[in-house]
Amino acid sequence: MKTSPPTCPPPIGEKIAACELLILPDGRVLTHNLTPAVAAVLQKLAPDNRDLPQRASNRNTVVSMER
Amino acid sequence: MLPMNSPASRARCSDPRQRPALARARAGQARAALAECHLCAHHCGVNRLAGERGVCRAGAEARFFSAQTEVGDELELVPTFAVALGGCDLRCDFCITGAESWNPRAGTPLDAVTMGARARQALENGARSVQVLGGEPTIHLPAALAFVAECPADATLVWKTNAHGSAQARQLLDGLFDVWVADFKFGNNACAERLAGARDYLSITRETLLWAARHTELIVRHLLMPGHLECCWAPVAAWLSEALPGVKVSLRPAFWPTWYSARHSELRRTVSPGESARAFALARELGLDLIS
Repeated sequence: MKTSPPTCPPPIGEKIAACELLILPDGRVLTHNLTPAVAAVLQKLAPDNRDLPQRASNRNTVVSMER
Repeated sequence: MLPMNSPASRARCSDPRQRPALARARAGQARAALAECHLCAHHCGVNRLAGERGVCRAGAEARFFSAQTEVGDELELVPTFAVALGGCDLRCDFCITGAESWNPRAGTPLDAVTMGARARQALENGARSVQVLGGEPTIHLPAALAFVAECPADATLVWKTNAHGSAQARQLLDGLFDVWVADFKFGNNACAERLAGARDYLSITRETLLWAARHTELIVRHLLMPGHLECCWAPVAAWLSEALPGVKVSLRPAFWPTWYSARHSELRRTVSPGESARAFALARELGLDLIS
């Protein structure tokens, strides 16, 4: 049985649009590259957070539409 | 000294209509400067046009590793279309984008015209600003300015920097960006050298921040690091309250132990709620203008 030759890793290019979350054991959530859509999700998880409504408010207009 | 909140102290881009032409001209000057590169405070003096490499290891070509609309930055700037360029002149072991920031060959070559069109579309779709960041964009000044030339003249442009640029770089940037978001990462030279390989950090950063406060609307950002409240945040906060009263300060407590953080025992964890509370309390005691 033939095996495929090992493939080279792809060149590092532009990352796909991404938001990274780090969920800590105590329930805190740290974010990096927060997008409007993820801000909207987090707002539902933390309705008392004062900043999230403003960060999520534009989700309907700017969600990854500029690709 | 003028309080930074006063209208007279704010020097947004003086005439936006002139910005594209000015940026185009400056991009040419910046490219010529690569022949003996002094864009950052390392002052390597290498000829990047001929393939020589300095501390940042960057050549003449800029690459971007991310370009998307984000809302995690300061509220007055978001949603922002953020273009992140690969490569940096600092070597922060805790860098959250270390793989791309330490490698100027990461990412896709930046085409200013194409990216300008994407920025325009993002603005039409509701983005409030366009942000150039890194890595560290200062080392890619020719490409960054070429991109500015392709952005809508009336866009709010944000320069996100580690504040480790040279006077020459600041001259080339003067009048082109509406807002500077500048890091003040370390409160002493020893932490800066140990964690980021930066010498003479304090004087370089202070000089940059003082310049930026005079020439643009400035937001100073400090990433709170675990175990560095007394040695880094406290002196940074004290200096800001004395030297830049009224400047907007963005204190970021969401330290993320990543990249080579584990080389340093104190950086193997996140900032505790108690540390965060003490840091914000100190800011309030000093009367800093904290923004979210």
